[in-house]
Amino acid sequence: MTGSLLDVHDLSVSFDTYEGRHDVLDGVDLTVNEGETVALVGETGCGKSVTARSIMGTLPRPPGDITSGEIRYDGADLLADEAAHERVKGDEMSMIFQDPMTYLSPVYPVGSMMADVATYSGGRDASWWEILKNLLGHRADREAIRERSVELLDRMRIPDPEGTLDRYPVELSGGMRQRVIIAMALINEPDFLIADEPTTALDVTVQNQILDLLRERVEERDLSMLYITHNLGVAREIADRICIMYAGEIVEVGRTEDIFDAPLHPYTRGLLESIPKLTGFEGTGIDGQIPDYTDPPSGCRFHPRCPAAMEGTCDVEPVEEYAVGDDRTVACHLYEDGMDFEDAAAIAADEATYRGEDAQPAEAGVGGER
Amino acid sequence: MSDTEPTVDDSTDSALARRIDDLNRIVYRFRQNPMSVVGLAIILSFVLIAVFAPWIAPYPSDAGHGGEPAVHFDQKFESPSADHLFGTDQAGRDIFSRVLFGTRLSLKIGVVVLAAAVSIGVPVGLVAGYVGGGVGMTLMRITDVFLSVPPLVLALSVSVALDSSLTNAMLAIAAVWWPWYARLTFGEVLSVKKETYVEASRGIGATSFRTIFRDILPNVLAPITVKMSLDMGYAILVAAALGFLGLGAQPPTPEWGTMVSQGRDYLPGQWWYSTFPGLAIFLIVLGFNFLGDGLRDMFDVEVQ
Amino acid sequence: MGYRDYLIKRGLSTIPMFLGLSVLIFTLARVIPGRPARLALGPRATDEAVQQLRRQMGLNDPIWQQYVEYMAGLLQGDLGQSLISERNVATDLVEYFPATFELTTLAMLIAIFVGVPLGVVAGQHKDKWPDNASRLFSFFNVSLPPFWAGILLQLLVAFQLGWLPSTGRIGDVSPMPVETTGVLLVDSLLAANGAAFVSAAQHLILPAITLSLAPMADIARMTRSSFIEEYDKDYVEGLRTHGIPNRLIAYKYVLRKSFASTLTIIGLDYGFLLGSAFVVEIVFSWPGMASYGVEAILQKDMNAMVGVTLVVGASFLLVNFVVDVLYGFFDPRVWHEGESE
Repeated sequence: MTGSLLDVHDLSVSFDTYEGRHDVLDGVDLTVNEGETVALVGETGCGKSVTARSIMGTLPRPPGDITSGEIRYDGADLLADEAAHERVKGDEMSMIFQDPMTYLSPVYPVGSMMADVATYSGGRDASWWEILKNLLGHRADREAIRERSVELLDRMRIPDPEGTLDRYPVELSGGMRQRVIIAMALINEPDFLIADEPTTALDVTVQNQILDLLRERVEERDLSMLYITHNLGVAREIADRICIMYAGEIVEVGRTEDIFDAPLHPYTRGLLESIPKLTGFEGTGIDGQIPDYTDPPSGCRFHPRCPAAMEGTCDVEPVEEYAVGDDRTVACHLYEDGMDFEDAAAIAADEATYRGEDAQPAEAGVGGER
Repeated sequence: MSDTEPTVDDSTDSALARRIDDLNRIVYRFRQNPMSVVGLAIILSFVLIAVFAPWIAPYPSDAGHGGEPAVHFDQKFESPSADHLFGTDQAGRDIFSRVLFGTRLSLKIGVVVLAAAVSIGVPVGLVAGYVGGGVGMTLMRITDVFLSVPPLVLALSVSVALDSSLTNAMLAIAAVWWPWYARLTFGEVLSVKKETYVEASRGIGATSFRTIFRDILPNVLAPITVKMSLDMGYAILVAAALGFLGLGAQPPTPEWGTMVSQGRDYLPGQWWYSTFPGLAIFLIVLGFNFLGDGLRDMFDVEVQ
Repeated sequence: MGYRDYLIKRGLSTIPMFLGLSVLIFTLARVIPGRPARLALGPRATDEAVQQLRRQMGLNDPIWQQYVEYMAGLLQGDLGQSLISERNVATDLVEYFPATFELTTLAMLIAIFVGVPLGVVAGQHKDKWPDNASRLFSFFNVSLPPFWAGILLQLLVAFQLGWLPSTGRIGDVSPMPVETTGVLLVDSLLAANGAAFVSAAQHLILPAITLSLAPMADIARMTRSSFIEEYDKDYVEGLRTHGIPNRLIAYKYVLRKSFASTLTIIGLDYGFLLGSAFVVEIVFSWPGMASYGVEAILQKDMNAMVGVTLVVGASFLLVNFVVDVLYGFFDPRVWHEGESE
């Protein structure tokens, strides 16, 4: 055991729509070790949520289709063993969602939904009789569940946790709902948590509170977490390691401080530069948009937007992930497999890498698109 | 995965090309729904039967073609045979011929009732929606009151003051049916009014009359067409119910509901007498329901 | 706004509807070509007799005065004299209403308890064979003329198979149940009269099934579409993520929310069902209010018909009020309005 809890290997997912087949994920590799928080960072539409849904087994199939790869959780192959997946879901893995407004059932008090998560998660079956009893409000160990819920809400610093259990979601603010959702995700004491942009839909002031609360809970329980965000700043605050995703591919992986100190992939550099800084430095950002998944660019999927794209290489040869030093991989033709970190950093830091090709990216862009 | 059909907003550029494009898409969507094709086939068959009844029917005079329905008491209550496909009734008349001729009446009822309902309801809805204010409120309150009684029951209470005849039955049904179109039109007008282009056409000084006819009416056409085809079956059903209760067409008119009612006196022995006219009602109503459902998919509109 | 305020608001709003309804029915019955006295007495009656009856019925007074007098009577339970029974229409209605109530209620219950699961199954198997079958079944049901469906059931189940009686409300049982509520099933239960209960139930089955067909189809289709819409919601994904069993998600969460939409259709369908009751009662010789109403129409008994229509309209309003009450229970957001965001 290397201590890895979740291991996603070569995951490819496609969606069939009337426009054709969208190859949304293209060979994603992702590892989360025990007790570690990994941030999955990328633009909206790059495939982060599809990755999360594949892991949680809620990918709508059809139209979604997992074409290759495996997802291992604690040794169990979740894609091959459906029963294991059901068992692990909710019991050992849990998930927090982006929009707290829509992820709670509007027609039940929040306590009812929490109690169901506590009682039924993990792929248990429910008989008609049980459902009838449930609808009439009977449930075994009702008091114990209620006690646990109250305690969790309290730990999420929800005022009047007892009363909150009996309230309907419409009666709660967005921040409160998100706290409830986090509490719900923790009720079965999972070992692994996926958080899908849990702060994006909230007010800025509330965002930090939620993030802090989440971090506290994770540290307190020594949870492993996959934190999905489009915001590198948030990732820096919460993550031990960062995976950068672009157009359905993981382009760079490294320890948080390493990524920030020396971003290797041109896309990562672009993302970092686009973070507004206090010094007044104007971020340059990245031109262009995420490509069309029905017909992704040849070679490296990023090359049409890449300031360092090399014509004849980047638009032709598919990239692989190259290990660069310890704990660092990057999928970019600028680097070679096994290159040492110092050399790589030197290439990345050299303005010439980008400026020198200044004339080329335009051509590469045109060539790549035509 | 939401469908990306163009909405009414972008209706200005290259109108003709888009119209043709829309038409293709509409026809495609219609054909995608196999039931609507079946429905269309059923309705077309009934229309053909109605038109050519005198030539198709083996005994047109039994159905009153060219005079009062004939009687042949020597042939009464013959069970279905090659000679009389649906058997004969208490006066020896060929039920098959009478059912074929009944198609004419049913289609006529459906068309007349809905034409009347639309020509009352649509103007009321247009005025209420376009003028708004107190007038609109009052009109819609009246409409609501009409809608608070089941149509058949209201039609019955109208017919208490009238003699029982087919014309009066149609009158009674139309009198209770228009509010549905008033409400539908009213709702559509309100939503169309919100669209900016009506605002725009007001801005450049178009009269309200022109606004109604150029901008609003075309937009309410689709939901009304769909509702009409869905209602056609139901109107025929209500008229048949009135006939069945003895409040519509009077025997020996070959009206389906009346025939079912007559046949009821001879159950279970002469089962064919009620069965076949009823089957005809069922088929024509089914046809209109299939068709209406297809049209609803095709125009992508919601109607109640 | 609390649930109680919501109920009071909804309840109060039915009063003007009822008043409007009474004006409408009254006007329709008295104004449209309007020769009720002549129609009632038939073509051979003398003009004198017609005038006499007009005076007696107050038909020479201005219409508004007739209306006010009628409504004043209504408040005291007086709906005017029936020409056929020569009793007060209110007395007649009290006698006939329970039979119709029994029939329509059972029909609606059948429609709901078959229609809703049918819709859920169709929604769970969207575009697969159970969905298509249920769709076809629904189309057939709404297209069946209720009187013809009744006749077919009589032919098959009553005459051919002989399983159930073809007409009437109760067979030859002794002792007959004592009338307390007028609803035979309830009366015979109260009296612990097993034979009467069985007989009443046997007579009730065929007409109730006949009546239930069309609303059943509507309910199934409405449930299906609202179920599909609801199943797409984020919170369902949330529940699935937590590994909650599908059956619990479907029947506890999704159905409750989508049942709110189904409820509105049920209210609407109840009106159509009351309409169909007029023909179905005739087919099965069911001694209810609708049979009474049809007789009233044929005999041009205006007071009786106005009374019947008012009761039908009022029942419809009442049912829709109940629907609103239940709607508030199934989807609490309607009375939480204004508190969110």
